[in-house]
Amino acid sequence: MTQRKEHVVGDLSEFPENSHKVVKVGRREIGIFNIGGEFYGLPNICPHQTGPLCEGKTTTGTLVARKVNDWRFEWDYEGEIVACPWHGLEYHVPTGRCLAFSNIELRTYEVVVEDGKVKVRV
Amino acid sequence: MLHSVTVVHPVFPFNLHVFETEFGRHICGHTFSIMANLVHMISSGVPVRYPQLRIALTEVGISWVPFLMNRMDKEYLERRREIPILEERPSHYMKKFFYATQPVEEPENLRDLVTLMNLYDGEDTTIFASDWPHHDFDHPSKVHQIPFSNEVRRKVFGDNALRLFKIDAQGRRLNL
Repeated sequence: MTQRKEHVVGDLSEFPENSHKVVKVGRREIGIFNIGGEFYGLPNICPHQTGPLCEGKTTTGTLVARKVNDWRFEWDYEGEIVACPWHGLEYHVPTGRCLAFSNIELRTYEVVVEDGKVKVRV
Repeated sequence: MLHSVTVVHPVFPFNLHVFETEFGRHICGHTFSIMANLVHMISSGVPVRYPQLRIALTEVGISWVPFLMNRMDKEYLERRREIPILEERPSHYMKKFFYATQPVEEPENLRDLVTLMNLYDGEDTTIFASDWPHHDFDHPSKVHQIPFSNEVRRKVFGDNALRLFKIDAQGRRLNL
């Protein structure tokens, strides 16, 4: 396996808690998410129709319904859901899982913070 | 068993009263009513809440099935939040329902019906139905003319119904 390369994408101060932004690494566009101090990276391309999925303004939670709660609607995953601005397809940022289509899972990029720098491993 | 006539309403979901002909009413009444009921059944999560429930749609033919599946999947993509009870795309559940053939469509090329059934993976879920003695009954010979493989023909003319009604090959009821 080829070794992933680390790329500095900015200072920590550019990625305040509960925000995200799209950075460019070579030819890739990667959404860097800071959710409660944890960092995640997702490709900025929606497998549905190639929309810029990480350019949605905010991450939110979403509605779920589960048997354990008698199928009542509940708000869950607060701050962990990004919806593609084109058609609204929702993704769970920490895992890359598409909520509507269980067979779609985005690749995730490892994002680390070292010495006040945010780095993504590609 | 969702039967189209029992769900027909003169106004909802289609304004049947605007038609001057039975031709128009009969085309739209049955199919659009059953589609409206099915959409509601899916959006309220019936197949998720009752995974053992076997659902059959009768007296609507089969050509609308691929349309509704694709239409629902497309809408689901944008509106999953409205129906978070679903764990899979709507077509996943629709493919598990049973579909009775009558009034079977009669395209000029009967092979089109084989293609159509393939669009909803219907070989294990499509069941011959006659609706005898109604005016629009289908004689078995018409469905028999569809160029199915012998295996699929056997399923459509018997095996699938046995599964729906839980009857074994010797005619014993399995759900008593």
